Amino acid sequence: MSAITQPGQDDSDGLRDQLAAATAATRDAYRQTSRLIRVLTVLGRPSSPAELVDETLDVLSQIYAADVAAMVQTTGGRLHVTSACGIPERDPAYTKGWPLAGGAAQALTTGRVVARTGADLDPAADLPPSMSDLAPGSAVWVPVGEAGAGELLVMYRLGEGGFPPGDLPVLGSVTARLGLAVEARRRSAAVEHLATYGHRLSSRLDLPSLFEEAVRLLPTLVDADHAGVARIDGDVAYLCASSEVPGAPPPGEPIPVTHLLGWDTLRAGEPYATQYDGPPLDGSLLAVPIVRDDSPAIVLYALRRDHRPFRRDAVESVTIFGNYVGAAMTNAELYRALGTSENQLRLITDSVSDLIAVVDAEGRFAYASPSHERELGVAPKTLLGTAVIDLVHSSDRPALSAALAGPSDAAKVEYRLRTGDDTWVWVESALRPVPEEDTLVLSSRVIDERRRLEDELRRRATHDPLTDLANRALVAERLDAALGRAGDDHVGLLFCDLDKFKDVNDRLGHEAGDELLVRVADRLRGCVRSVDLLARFGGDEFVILLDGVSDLGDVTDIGDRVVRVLESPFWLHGEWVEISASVGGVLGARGQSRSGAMLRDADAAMYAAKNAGRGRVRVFDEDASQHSLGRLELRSDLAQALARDELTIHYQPIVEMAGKRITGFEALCRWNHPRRGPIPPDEFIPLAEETGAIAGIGEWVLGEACRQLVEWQRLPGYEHLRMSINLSPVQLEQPEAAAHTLGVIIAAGANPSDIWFEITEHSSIRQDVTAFATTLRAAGVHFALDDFGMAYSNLSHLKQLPVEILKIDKSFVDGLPAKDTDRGIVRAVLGIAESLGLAVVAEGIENEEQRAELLALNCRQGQGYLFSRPLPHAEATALLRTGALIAA
Amino acid sequence: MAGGMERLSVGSGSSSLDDATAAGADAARAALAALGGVEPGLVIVYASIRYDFDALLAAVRGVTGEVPLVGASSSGQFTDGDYLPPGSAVSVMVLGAGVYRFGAAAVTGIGADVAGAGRELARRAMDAAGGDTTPHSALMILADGMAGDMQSLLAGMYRVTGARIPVVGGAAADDRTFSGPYVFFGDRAMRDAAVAVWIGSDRPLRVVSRHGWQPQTLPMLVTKVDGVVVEEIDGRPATDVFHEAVAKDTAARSELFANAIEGWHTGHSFGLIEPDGTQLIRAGVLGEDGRLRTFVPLPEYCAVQIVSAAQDDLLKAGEEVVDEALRGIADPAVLLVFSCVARSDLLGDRAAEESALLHKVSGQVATFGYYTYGEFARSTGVAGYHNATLTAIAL
Repeated sequence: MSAITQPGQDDSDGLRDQLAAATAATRDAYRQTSRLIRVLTVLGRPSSPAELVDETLDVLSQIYAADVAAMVQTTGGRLHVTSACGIPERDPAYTKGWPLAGGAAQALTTGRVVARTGADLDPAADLPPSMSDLAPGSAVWVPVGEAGAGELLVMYRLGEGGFPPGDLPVLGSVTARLGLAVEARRRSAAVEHLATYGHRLSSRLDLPSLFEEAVRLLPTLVDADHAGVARIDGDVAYLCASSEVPGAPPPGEPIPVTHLLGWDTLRAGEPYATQYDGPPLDGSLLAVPIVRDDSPAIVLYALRRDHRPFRRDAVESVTIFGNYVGAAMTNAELYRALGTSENQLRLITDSVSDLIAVVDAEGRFAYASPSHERELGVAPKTLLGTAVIDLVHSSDRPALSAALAGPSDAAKVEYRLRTGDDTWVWVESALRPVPEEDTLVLSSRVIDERRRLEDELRRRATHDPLTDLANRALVAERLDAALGRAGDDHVGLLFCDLDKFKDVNDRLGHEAGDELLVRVADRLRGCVRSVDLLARFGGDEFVILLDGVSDLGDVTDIGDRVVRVLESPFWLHGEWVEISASVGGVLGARGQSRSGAMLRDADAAMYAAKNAGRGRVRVFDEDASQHSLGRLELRSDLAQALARDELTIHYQPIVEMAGKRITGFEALCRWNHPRRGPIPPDEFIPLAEETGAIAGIGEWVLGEACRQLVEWQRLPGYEHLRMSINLSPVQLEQPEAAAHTLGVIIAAGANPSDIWFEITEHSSIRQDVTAFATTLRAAGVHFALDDFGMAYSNLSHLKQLPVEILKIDKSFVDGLPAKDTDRGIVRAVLGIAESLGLAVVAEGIENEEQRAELLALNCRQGQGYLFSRPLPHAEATALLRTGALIAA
Repeated sequence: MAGGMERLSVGSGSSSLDDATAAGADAARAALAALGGVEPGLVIVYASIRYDFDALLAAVRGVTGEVPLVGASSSGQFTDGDYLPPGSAVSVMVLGAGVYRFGAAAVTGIGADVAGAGRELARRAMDAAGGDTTPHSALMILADGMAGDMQSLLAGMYRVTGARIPVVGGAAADDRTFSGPYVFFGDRAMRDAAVAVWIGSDRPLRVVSRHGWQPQTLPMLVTKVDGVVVEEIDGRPATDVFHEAVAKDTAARSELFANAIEGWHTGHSFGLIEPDGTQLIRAGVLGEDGRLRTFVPLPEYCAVQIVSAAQDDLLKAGEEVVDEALRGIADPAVLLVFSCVARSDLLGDRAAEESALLHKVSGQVATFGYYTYGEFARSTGVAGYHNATLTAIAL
């Protein structure tokens, strides 16, 4: 302090400095919060995958002051920009790319965020060549999506300031969310497109326009620039439709199939994806064959100019699309056959002599030509004076009466006439009035053969030739009709897919496969009522339309019947063949449900059944029919649940059963969805594992539970309290999972030896679990095997793991003390535990009897509603304070 | 253009005549005369909306011929130290050909797809300049800022130009009548449109901006917006928060516009906190319906402070802009300046002082500019649309 400064000034300067520092700190905190939320807001907004990426890049450029924010993709050792904010649109970085090296290579190899500043930034390796004159001062590379996806977010700053290390975790998290959001958008966009494309394709009744429609639709489906359809005819292929691709062969020019890219793969019926540099097909190419009669008949092509590779989801979408095209081709061919047959028939019937008759004002025969005798077996003279209508089939009388009452030159009427031997023949009559005489001339021809042929052709167009069951077209027509009828009952739909059918085909040949399908059809006929419609949609997919069921229970019953009827083996080509069926069902309301949605939902239900294991039935009711869509929505909600504070942890006491003393807690994650309310853990944990969100959630649960433990250990008498935390196998896939996990425990201030990780038996057989567990055990962390007895129970695995506790699953405790088998299992588990020197914790103890039984079997520790349900932390704290267990 | 650059020739003129044809011809003749016989390369026109623009532009083109012309309606202009208040005059500047490569372009119907219009405008301007072929370039934009979100226009341009090209410019104004501004291209005056000039150069071009506003509150999060309506700040009604800040800040001027938008507290604005800690200014308007609006939508969950400005700080910001814009640029001829109408309102009687000051600090360099409804100044990242700010580029 200088002597000339007045004391008052000192104070106010100091205060001003403090205020400035406080303002700066607040501003900083707000900016960080604002950053994260602004990105999350963009991710939550409805948009297409491409718009989502563009908008996110704009926001990232703004909130990180990045002059360049770009998504880049590696393909064939080169990086290509797929979308960018700050790289000119005509820059070769989009089209030519540059070699993968430097920070990008490091980020992709390690799967971690890499930041470089100043001298660390190597212009030769770290920049696209076109950017070298910009001379960025710093750069950051963030891997996007699953490992091996080869996608990165890259940001450059021209100024001096680098990306501070504190920003990197947030960036990593933001990018992971972006990756998930883009993937979710891509999937739901594909589902939406496919839902409408099947219909658009099947409405094309000639092959050229069908192929042109396919070429129009395909680029939108997989976000490609061009599409093409090639027809394979023996050893040559012809391009029969394509969007304008410079350098592509002209339509109709024969190309030897061996010249097709990836022919060996396509020939085997598998899709083929590749990168091609240079003309004629510079870009990323996907080829998907449509197989008919065991060989590719058509190849669908999609081309992306910007070299983005086609991922699995795109390949799946095009494969489904290919199935639609194949079905539409069959349709178109049938229609063509129908047309040809009709023309031929016309020639024949034209040559048949007409029946000529004159009918008086009362509708009686006044004259009949001799041909009546030949065609109908009726002598003309016996007809005279007879009313025409008396010879006509009762169902057809109204049509003829109407024609007789108002004849016109153009009108023709078709009806059945009784023949001399009392059978019916179809005739077609033209009626011409004779004005002066008040009579009509009836010129008729027998069209019996034509009607029969027409019926046959109609049948072929609507039935599967192999099994003679209805086909897709007929189901769609009948389903529409059924839904359109009024009635108090409902319409059910079952999709049945044969499990292991492909094995039969592969092992015994297609002939045996076809025979099996015929036999399956026969058995299924026994499962349906006369009002129901049994159909085959091609391949091994059978569909049953239930016209008139009361509820979903009926649908389930018939589904169960289908599963049962296919359970007994088939005698096929000299051996017993066992198959099973996965069945999905839905219920539709008349006047409300749409056939397209029902077909889609039944298909989805069938896949749900398949996923649940073979030989199952899954039905979707009105609510659950949105399950697959709901699941997609839940996936994206889950990605944000943590950030939105929707997750909480409940703690269930683990108790020394003899004295009911709390020795520890198991931390259990709960998700309270803002609209759906609490989501059960067995629903969202698998989702979190699927999407990778489990990494963030698991880490958060671990941190929170550790902090809570530290707090509780400060309470008198609970210094040695321990915390059990469930560990998902997916969490172990994170890079350096062991070190990272230990870091979280230490950072929370917890002693690793008070932490117990619960791993499931299923995951325990994995190699990475052993490595992970060994490392952490060395640091003091303990391991418990969860749900023991539910899965493999392989003791050799137990020995490889540093496990110290076995947890006995609730399902065995439930059976105590009544069931001998359960008591036996519990006793066996306790014996195993003793021999291996392991402690045992029993789960799901609900009553005193169970506790007494377990104590008698020398099981010392347990948890369950008898002691306490899982509690929010405040209630758990209160429990510790009072020392009283709820049920004690 | 190779080797050392020669100095750009410039000439400017202005006129306050009432007749559009007479005023246009008068100003254009003066500008062309000052160019001293050099071939003109670009004509810039700023004009009060009191003029019949068709007649005005025809008169200017009668003097300058087919030379590319861009311009905007204004809320006052300044040329070489003279302050021409709103509703008074037309100013014309002619830049000589040969030193820079100019490419002028326009897009209309921008409101329907602002980002798409930005992309198209940048492409057209670049193509008009014969492509991105010079070592350095910049873009100058004049736009009808009332047609849409101008930050989206910038974002669209950024997709095409990338980080290498700085952007400078202003939103057209209308003498504070809010009857709707125009931009000029050739002989046409257009609404819902934007014009741009690609400036190809052998030496670096720099866009500079300053505002001189000071934060008056702690940082807050904008928690709910609906387009340009700010609904909640920190979870509370936005109007309450704004009123409290204005009421607490007794030192600042918070005058209302007479006969203009009711409730525009020109004395207070939002300062959008930028990654480097500086504020991007966004003017706030309290409407008769009790709602708080901005001219440019605030991003939801952005961090803001309420800021106010003292006259001396505003003038100092002007001085800093000139200093920095001219620093290190060899032999500049003109400083193209875009200043916000809110600055001239806050400066009140001292508005003329700003023009004089800019001219004085610029020394031998000509100054030419107008009062805008928003300023384009993009130099880092995609962000770069401002309010209540001063921006400039030296050529």
